[in-house]
Amino acid sequence: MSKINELFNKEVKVINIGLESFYNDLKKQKVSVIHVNWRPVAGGNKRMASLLSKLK
Amino acid sequence: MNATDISKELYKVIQDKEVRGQIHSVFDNSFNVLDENSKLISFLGPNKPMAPYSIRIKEKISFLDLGLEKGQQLTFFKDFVSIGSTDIVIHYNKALLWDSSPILFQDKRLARDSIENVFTKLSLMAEFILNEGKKEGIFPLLKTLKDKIKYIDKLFDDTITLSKKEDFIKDRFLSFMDSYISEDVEKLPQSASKVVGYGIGLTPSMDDFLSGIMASRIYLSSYLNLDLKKAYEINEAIIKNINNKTTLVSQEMMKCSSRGEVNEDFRSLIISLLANRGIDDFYKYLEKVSDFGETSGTDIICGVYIGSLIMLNEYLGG
Amino acid sequence: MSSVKYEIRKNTYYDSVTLMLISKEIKKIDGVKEALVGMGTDLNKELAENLAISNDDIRNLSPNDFFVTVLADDNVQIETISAEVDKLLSNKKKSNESDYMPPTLESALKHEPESNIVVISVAGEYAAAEAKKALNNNLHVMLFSDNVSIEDERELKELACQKGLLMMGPDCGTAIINNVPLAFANVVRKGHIGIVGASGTGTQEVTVIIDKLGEGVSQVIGTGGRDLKAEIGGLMMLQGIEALKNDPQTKVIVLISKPPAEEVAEKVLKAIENSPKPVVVDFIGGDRKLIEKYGAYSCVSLEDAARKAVALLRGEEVRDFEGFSLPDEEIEKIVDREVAKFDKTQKYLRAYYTGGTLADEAMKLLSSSIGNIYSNIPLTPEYKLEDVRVSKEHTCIDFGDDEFTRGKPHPMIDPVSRVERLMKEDDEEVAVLLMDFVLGYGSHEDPVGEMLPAIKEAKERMAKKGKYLCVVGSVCGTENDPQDLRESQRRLEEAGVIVMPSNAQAVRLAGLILNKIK
Repeated sequence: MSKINELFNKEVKVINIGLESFYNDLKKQKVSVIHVNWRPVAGGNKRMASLLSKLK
Repeated sequence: MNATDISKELYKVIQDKEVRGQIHSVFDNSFNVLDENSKLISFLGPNKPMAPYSIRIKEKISFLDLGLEKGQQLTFFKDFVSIGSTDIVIHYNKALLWDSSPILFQDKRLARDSIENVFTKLSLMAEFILNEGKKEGIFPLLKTLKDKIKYIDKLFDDTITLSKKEDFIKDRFLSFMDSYISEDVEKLPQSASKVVGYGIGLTPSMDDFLSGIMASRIYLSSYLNLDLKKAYEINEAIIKNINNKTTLVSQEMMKCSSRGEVNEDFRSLIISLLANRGIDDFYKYLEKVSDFGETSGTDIICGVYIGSLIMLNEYLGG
Repeated sequence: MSSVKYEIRKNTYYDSVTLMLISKEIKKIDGVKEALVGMGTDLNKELAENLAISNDDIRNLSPNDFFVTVLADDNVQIETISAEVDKLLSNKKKSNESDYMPPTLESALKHEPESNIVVISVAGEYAAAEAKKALNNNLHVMLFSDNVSIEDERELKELACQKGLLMMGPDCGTAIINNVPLAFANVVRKGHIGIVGASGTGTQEVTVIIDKLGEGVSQVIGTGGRDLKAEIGGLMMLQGIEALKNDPQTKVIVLISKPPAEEVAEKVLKAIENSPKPVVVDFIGGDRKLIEKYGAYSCVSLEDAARKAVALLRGEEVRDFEGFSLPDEEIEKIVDREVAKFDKTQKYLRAYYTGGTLADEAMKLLSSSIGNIYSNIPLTPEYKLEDVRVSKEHTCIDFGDDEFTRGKPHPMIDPVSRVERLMKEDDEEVAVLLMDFVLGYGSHEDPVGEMLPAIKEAKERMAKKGKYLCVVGSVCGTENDPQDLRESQRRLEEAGVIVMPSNAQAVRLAGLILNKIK
């Protein structure tokens, strides 16, 4: 069975990255959801981010 | 800050004289105040259901962020309360008065639903508890009531087994339930005092369960046109010896519940169970109540369910 | 060897959710055999005694004291226990009590390893990287963000296809998976109609009408607005079609999109050509014959797509729905009544939409009957408004388009840009105002309430000049949406708005009114 059809048979468990309102809406509906307190890598500083990614 | 709602009873007391108190406990969405007579006055955030002896405020803030602390003194004037050592003032002169008294069928605002419909709703309630309830509270213990109450097996979940905790309290719980089912006002005070305070939480699971049982007795007695005086008498027997056996907050809650005085969502749940309102209302309140605290909501609903089955026993046939 | 370790906090109250969390976490600590967390009620103290984890200090507690007592291996220090308790208490995020909000996708996955879908709505430049991470972790993705390059979109979708995962988006606003509305979606009955949609509000309109007709949806897969462009080639629509073909719950398939590039249309239609399940295709104004050539059912509107899907499910006759729910005589009465109120100079349409696809549908349904319509998303380039902030003759605006949403929330979340436009409207030649009100999760908590004052004012402004502003609208919502559908409709009607059961019918009525004026 394809992964998509497998998903149709499971309980939806969401990871939400971004707008907290989407997270709140899912919580209101008692959907299993975890919200990522997302911050851009290196606080959004692009040069830092590209340096950091070279380190990985 | 401004209050949107204030308990009618509390407002009257405040108008009669200046009330003083001190902060007892502070949470995110509420804080409690102990007055000079050790009565608990609760302050609620806007998202909480209105409750007996409480003041609900308009502003959406966390009380933990306001610098409120245990022990701070409050003075309740006619129109507002001030919290000493902070510059916080809460105005309630424009707040709506909230009456915590049970809304019974006698006062004609409500029409009874048919008994068939009430049973249908009770089945829905059992399903709801099974599928969506929090099972870490009173739920596992209910299994011990098998064979004592008709239709209770609808609630059973075979995967749940009794842990040491439940084993410990099982016999006393059964003893309490026996005296409750037989309406034994002599035995009730003692058997209740032996189970009160059991469970985790600021309102332990057993206490929430008992609230559900007591409130449903009042409402069902009204629904069935039974003697309300007897209902109050039985509930009084249950709370007779509970002082100091549980947290202050829980104790106050049970005393109110014994008179059928519960928070507005809990009240709406029982009304939607027994009155001819739509099924959507009923479901909506099941969800609202089940959201209380951690297991509190489910424990209350279990109490309402068991309490209803007991009161409706004769009608259950079979 | 085990021993009892305990922690007491006198006269301290923690809310129940915290207590439960502490209890769960303490029990997870390595070496802990038995634990009791709670207030010092008689009963809890007795229980502690019974579990052999009590002592004098605990016996002396009052019901208003908090305690934790555990039976644990000797090497477990009490400091570990207190540290855990403290950590849990400080971790509490105020607005969400015991909810843990990890800082990255990886930590979220560690915390909830059974997760299966990631919904991403961070700024476009970062969104693609997060989506890729998700796919590489074998998670399905819904990418709400736009401003992702088309090259990145292609790369993500190819990766997803390789792994057999959903890559819904970028610019995917609507999906309903296992009856869970994701992002901007309505609460729709569970049923047997499966939908793959490249357009957010278009999909919403179809699902809402299916629900109104008494049927429901199995799965609603979003693909993002660009999926059917030549550069992407319909990759996600094809994935979605495959999944719905294999889904036993789906008995009828509906595809929704703006007219695709021709070769992509052929590819997609070929995929459903011999489908044992009936397929309804709405390429919103696209080539009907092409669709019919492949054995699918073509449509005249989004509402028509919904009606056809329902008819197919029920084994009823399938025909084009080009009319109204109300009987024709009623409609004639409404048209005559409205037209009688205009003054002779009034003749123009202002269609102000929050849902882009609904705006597009409006223009496609009306242009042949009322003539050219200026817009910020015109049907042909010569009718692009010079200044999108100034309406001209017949005008239709999509307030969700980029020019209106830079640095501002989408109008479905906050209709302020439409409110402002309406307040400024002072063209006396306007006759009909046409609007959509989209309910459901993601949308403003009261889209109607937000517009009512502006609508009332606009009507009054016109009335003062001896003119009449006719307002026609439709509410895209279901009974179970968080906003109150019935109240929304009622309040609109109370304000004098003519509420029609679908966008297509609202548009058609506006057309009839405008044509009768001539």
